This record gives sequence, C-alpha cells and structure tokens, in this order.
Amino acid sequence: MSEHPPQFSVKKLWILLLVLTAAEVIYGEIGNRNFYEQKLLLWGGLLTFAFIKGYYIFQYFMHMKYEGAIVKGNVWFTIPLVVYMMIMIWPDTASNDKLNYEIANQLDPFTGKVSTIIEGSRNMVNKEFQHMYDDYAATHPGAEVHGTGGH
Amino acid sequence: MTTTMTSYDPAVDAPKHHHPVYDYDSGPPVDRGKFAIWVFLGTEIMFFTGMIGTYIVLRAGSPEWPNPAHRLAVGITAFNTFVLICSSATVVAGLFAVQKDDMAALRKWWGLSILLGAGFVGIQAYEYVHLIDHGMTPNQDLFWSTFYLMTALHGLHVIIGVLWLAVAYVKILRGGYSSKNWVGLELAGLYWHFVDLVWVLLFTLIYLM
Repeated sequence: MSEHPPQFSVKKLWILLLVLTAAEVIYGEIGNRNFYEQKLLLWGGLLTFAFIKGYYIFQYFMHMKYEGAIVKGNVWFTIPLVVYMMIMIWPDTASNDKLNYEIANQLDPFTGKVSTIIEGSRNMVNKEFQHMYDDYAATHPGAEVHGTGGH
Repeated sequence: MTTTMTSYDPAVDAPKHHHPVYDYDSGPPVDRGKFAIWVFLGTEIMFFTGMIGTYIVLRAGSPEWPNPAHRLAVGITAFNTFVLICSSATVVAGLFAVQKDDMAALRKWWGLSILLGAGFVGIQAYEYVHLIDHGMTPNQDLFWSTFYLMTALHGLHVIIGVLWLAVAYVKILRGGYSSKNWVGLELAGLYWHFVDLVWVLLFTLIYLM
C-alpha cells in the first residue's frame, strides 16, 4: 500500500490520452497519404505519440511517480536493459544490406582451409559458396552434394 | 531432577505460534504483493520486448512491407484503443473510490472496467473473424504471421486481465475491500494498466507504422 495514495485528476488524464490517441491516428492517416516514404518523419512522429501516452500511463495510472526507491529502482532498470538489447542486436540483424562485413571464419569442407566471408548479404554468401558445390559435383559424378540449391 | 526429551513430537512440543512476532517490520519498506507484481511486470516487459524486437528485425530485413492501412481496419482498432484507455481510467477511478470507502462508486467503476475489457476482446474477435473470413491467415506472409503473433498474445493478456478484474469484483461484492485494505485491487489494476500500455505501443507499431 502506498504511503501517500496518489491523487491526480483521472478525468484530465483520460481526456489527454484520448486526445493524444486521436491526434496519433490522424497524424498516421495524413502521413500515410502524404509522406509515406519519409519514414523518419512518419515513424518518429507516431512513436513520439506512443511514448508520450505510455509515459503518462506508466507514471500516473500505474502511479510509478508516487512509488518509493525500491520499486522505482527495480522497474526503471528494465528500460536501459531494453535499450541496450536494441543497440546490441538490431543493427546487426535488422537489415540484410548491412551484412557486408566479416561474418565468420568458416572451414571450407573441400579444401580444408579456413576462409573468411566478407562479401554481401546472406544470399551473397550462399552464392559465394555455390561454385564449390558445383565444382565438387562436376568432379565427382554420382556424389550426393548438399549445396545451396540447383542439385 | 532433570527430564530428558527422548523424542520431539511437533504436535505436542512445537510452539503454538509458528510466526515469530517482532516489534519491527523485518521486510523491505514496500508491500510484498506490489513488489512481486512489479518483478512480474519486469519479466513481461522483456517478453514483449522479445516479440516486438522479432517483429522489427523481420520487418527491417524484408525487402518490402505492406502499408498496414491497406490491410487493416485502422478506424475500428483506433476505437478499440479508446475502449482500452477508458477501461484503464475506470480502474483508477475505482481505486480512488475504495480509498475513500465509496463502495457504490467502486462497484460502478470496476464493473464498467470489466465490461470495457470484455468489449475490447469482443471487437478483436470480430476483427479476427473478418480477417480470417477474407483468407488473411497467419500462414499468408510475414505481415500476417507477426500480426497474429503479437495481437493474439496481447489478447490473451487482456482475457487474463478481464478474469482477474472479475475475480476482484466478486471479492468487492463480498465486502473484501475497504479504505484500509485495497492492495489486491491495486495489483489487478497494475496488471491491467500494463496491458493497456503494451497495446498503445502495439497499435502504433502494427496498425499505424
């Protein structure tokens, strides 16, 4: 039980949230029609609306604003954790176009050498290896070759 | 002469009161139930982060992604978002009522919250029926897979929330809460607001972006 029960105007907050939701939907509607390709403007605006609404629900409806240090400390900690997760994972995984750096050192099963894949996206990697499977299949008639396709 | 206890029979020898009574509070200066629900909500944050993260990774890695406005009825779902925000507001109004011992207002606001929550589930079910009717099933493409994954798991949270509110309502009717004892209502409310908060983000990500 809170030491100081939170007191704020539910009605005001309720109206504010409804107005923000309406504004967000209208912004999205206008954005989808007029500047759908300008993702930063469209998505940035929409996410700003969502985060403002989320902030008010979190701080007032869930009365985090009125909690003591123990609850605040435990819960706020998850926010930087989420941000950390995003920063660490998303840039690497969220776009095939960005996979044009060294992916891994891989053992070439045919030559026995370790090769480093540095080129292109995942599909490019498959193409990179394709010739090895093709070469092997050509020199070993009847062998079962598990390549990336075409056999 | 001394007596030796040869065997210890708890039924006879154990002290009557098993809970030691201290003249100070040995726990942390926070209600245990509230602490527990916040830890649980912390795990829920990570759960939804995993799902939303998966969605963003799949979407960003796709060569193209359909405009959700062309596939989904944004207007109906915007109305549904209104419904959920209203239900959050009525839960808070109920909580303020019980703190003032206004039981009639508590019953009114809490009952309304349950109706609004059930209404949200009903509208979502209506949306699902229409989408599936038009062949928009999860196996169609990545858009629908992620759409159903996120909205269905959130919908499950809403159903659990409605059940929780309903159980609390039965206890309200039996006179189980008062201005001195309302933590149970607060815990149900915290879960409910969390479900509302997640929907605010999901609505933006799935329906508007």
